[in-house]
Amino acid sequence: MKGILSTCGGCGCGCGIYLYGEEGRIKSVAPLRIHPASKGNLCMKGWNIHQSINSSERLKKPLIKRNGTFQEATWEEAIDFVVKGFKKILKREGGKGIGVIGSQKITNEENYSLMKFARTLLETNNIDLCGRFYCFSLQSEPFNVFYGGSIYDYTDELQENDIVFIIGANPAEENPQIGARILKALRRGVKLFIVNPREIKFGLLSEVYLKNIPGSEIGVINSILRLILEGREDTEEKELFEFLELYNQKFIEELSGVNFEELKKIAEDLKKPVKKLILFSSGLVSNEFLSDSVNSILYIAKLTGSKVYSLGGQNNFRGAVEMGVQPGYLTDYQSIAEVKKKFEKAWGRSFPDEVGLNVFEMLEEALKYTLKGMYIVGENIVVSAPDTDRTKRALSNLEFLVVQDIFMSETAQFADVILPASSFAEKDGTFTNLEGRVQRVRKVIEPRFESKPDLHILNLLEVGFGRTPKSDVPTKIMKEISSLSPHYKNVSYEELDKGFGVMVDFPLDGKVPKILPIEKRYVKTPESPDIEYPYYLITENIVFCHTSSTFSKHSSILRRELPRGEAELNPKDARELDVRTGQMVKIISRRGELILPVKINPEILAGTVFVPLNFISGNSNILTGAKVDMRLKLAGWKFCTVRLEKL
Amino acid sequence: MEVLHSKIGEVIKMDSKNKIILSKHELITALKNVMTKMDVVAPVKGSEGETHFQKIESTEEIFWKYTHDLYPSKNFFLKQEEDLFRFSVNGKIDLKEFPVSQRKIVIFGIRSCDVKGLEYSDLFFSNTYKDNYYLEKRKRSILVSMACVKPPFDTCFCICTNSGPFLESGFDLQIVDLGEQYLIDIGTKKGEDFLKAGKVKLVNAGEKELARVEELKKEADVYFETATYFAKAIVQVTGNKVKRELWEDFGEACISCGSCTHLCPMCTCFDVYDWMEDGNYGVRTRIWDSCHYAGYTREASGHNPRGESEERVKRRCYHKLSYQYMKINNNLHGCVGCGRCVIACPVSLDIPTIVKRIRREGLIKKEIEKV
Repeated sequence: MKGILSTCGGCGCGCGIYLYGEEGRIKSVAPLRIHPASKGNLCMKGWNIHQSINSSERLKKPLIKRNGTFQEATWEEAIDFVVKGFKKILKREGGKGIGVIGSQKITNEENYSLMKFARTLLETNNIDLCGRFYCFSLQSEPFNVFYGGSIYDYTDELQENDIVFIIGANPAEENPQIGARILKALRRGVKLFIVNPREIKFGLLSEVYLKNIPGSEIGVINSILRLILEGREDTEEKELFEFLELYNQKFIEELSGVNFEELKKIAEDLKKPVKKLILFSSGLVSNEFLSDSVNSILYIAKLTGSKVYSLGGQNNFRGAVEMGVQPGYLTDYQSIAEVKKKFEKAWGRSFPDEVGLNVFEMLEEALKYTLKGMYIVGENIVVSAPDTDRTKRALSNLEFLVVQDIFMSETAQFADVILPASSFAEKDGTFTNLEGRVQRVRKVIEPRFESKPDLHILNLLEVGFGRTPKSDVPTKIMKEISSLSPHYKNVSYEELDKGFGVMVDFPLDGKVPKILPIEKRYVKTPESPDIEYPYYLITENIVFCHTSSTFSKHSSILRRELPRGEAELNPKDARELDVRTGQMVKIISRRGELILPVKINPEILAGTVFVPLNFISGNSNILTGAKVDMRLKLAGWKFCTVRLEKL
Repeated sequence: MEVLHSKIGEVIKMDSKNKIILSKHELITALKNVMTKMDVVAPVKGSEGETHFQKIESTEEIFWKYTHDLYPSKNFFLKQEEDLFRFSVNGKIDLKEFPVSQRKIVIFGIRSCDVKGLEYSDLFFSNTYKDNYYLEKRKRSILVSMACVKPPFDTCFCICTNSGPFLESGFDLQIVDLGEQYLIDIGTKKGEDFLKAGKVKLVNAGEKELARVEELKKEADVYFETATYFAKAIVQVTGNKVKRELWEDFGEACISCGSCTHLCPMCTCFDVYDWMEDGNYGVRTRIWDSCHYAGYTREASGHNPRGESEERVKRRCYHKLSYQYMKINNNLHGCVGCGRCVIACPVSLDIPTIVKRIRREGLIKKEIEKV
């Protein structure tokens, strides 16, 4: 049995992993001592990733829905069905009637080919990622320039900071490698500041730990910004300081429930001329003020000379974005307006001019029956989008839905055709990790059952559309990508095979990130508790539950970690409700309800309920709302207010 | 130990007659001869420069300047994922074992720490319940260990756990590299089988060679950098004298990744799960498990006696360091000092660090006063 080096598909860390194939299954996984990201270890996800690949519940054959039930079909039938379905819509509505969702889990080459397929053959720029519901929201205008920036060289530099400020993130669960490096920094004596409503790992070791009222992050940040601006001479800064006067002690203590003196401590330390790092994640950017929050963070970073990192993300979320799976951008953040001609020339095909719809807008259009068909690759949008009920309505409104996945997901249930795809152990390609390291994914076993790699499926579709595709070999596609994307110009399979991947140059290239003027408006918590819905609901990723559970629920070990979601409550609230750990409660929001067992957690803020995100049973997105960020028209989904009923 | 080894491989009483001398060329010839009859697993150099133990087809594949494989050799006996049996569910339950190969398997060049790890696992799998899936493979195996004249990594600390760099028992054959030639310790009858299959001419080692081995043993000891004293930590852990704050500190650091347990040559925890091949046949599969996972100890009621990572770290340390476990395991340490946890742990919560910290800051206040 020989181990083949590949890249773990668990999260954005991009750990090196040896996969041992035997009898068409992955029999062992092992870490790699000298890999720069993983350094000899894997997390729980990595160690058990083979179970999902080996699962006997994988989609085995293409399925076509006939008279309301799925029937097995041959690949020829399925491809023919898909091509006819899309052609029908194209003829009647044009490309505007179709939306495509790419995947943060498939390879760069596949995402690129999907993007090309969508734009040229489906004649639409309506292409996006489900990552937009998460941190990746920021990747779009205007933050894109900043977002891919040099913030990402995390692996070892992270340990060398003197001050780490974490707000709305849980690094040990979201990206274990980053969590581990923070701990090493702590052992070195780094000062750690945390602002998060629920206790996170390493909380006991922090200098300041503030549990803020959910949704008040923007207030906390602006308050810190104000403290930093204090005494500055610059007129522009003075003006801003005066505006931020709003965020004074009384206001912020009322809004967020945190101690103002502690905030002062954080601000004082951030002013010091030492190495500083600010980490944030979905907790910060999941409400409708996400653009304001990030903007203020950037402002703090600029004033204090700190680095900023955003956490979270799936194995290839950065790669998917950089491959142009975005409505307004082609590869490498090149906007359609600027590079359309270059791409049309290289592809020998034309595509529409206008910027397409993002995933949020696609669902909107589907609800209005103006979007007719969708092609969803490797995403479980029913689980990952906020307001599940709304998503389901949108999908059932569609005339034609194609889902391509490795498991029968909640989204696939709505499909007209399901195409079984292969996992990352069954194909060649590349992933780009959080820090921008493009790494090889290698084929270890043959595609399981009758599944096919996504690239192969796209190829069949192109043929179905009457094209003779130039190539479906990942090497050649990477050549095409690197010739069209300046920052990927050094990426080739020869280079990738030499060491542990190639670092892509950063789009920022040393430029100062673009910061918007701080919007001068009074910002308050989005949905406030009232008599009817007195509790805040917060959600967060947990380590053993990734990729909207579609993958992890097929591993017996990961599934066992938490057989079902739990609603975490403060002891005080539990007493008031008269419930104990293990008792069931009904959680009701304005959008839906969920029944879950209670877990009493003294480390959670009173008046707050925590439900893990995207969970196998009890998905918190049933409750969350799809509020929209004013400026960016993006979903701020993470929290809402709820009512609890004892059962 | 003797009792067990008579099943797995009869132990030969050690004296200088069991030590023979072999030239490097002769060893390769012997391996070639053995390969016609047995499967040989040996160190191979991976494309990344790492050592991997895997089945070889020719002796040319052997990576002679190998270090040790991060992936423990226990995988040859307790596989990370292993199908145990097939069952049918048509009316009545019908179990069928998978066919087992009868070919002997030689693990050539296995390091002392891994040998000791297997010795410990042997006890676990044959103590009360005999695990035939493991024991079958062990009985068919021949361990040809390579004494570490120089420890391969600066993370090695087998000198602290009495499990290397040279071994007194546990191996079938132990090779000592004397530079020009090899000295071979014959440990068991299985070792003799290997030599017979290799058609090796037995030349007893002379005084000079034996003296050189003793010299090398002494020299090897100097190289250890991670050395730490286990004895005092064992006393503290056994007597439950480690203060709570230290466990809390460990628990706060541990991210429950399971890397230390999966890579530990002595960790034997596993889980089983059933899956259906089709409507009629299912397979029971065994998979490595880890006591660091919360689900490992969760009871059916939902109660978890070790729900916090602090309790899980403590539990594992007890298993590795407490005398209660040494007592039932032939006084073997619960750790072999291979240093894999030192390499793997993302938060540096490895056994030498734990031992050091227990020794230095672990004592409950009352105890400190007594001291």
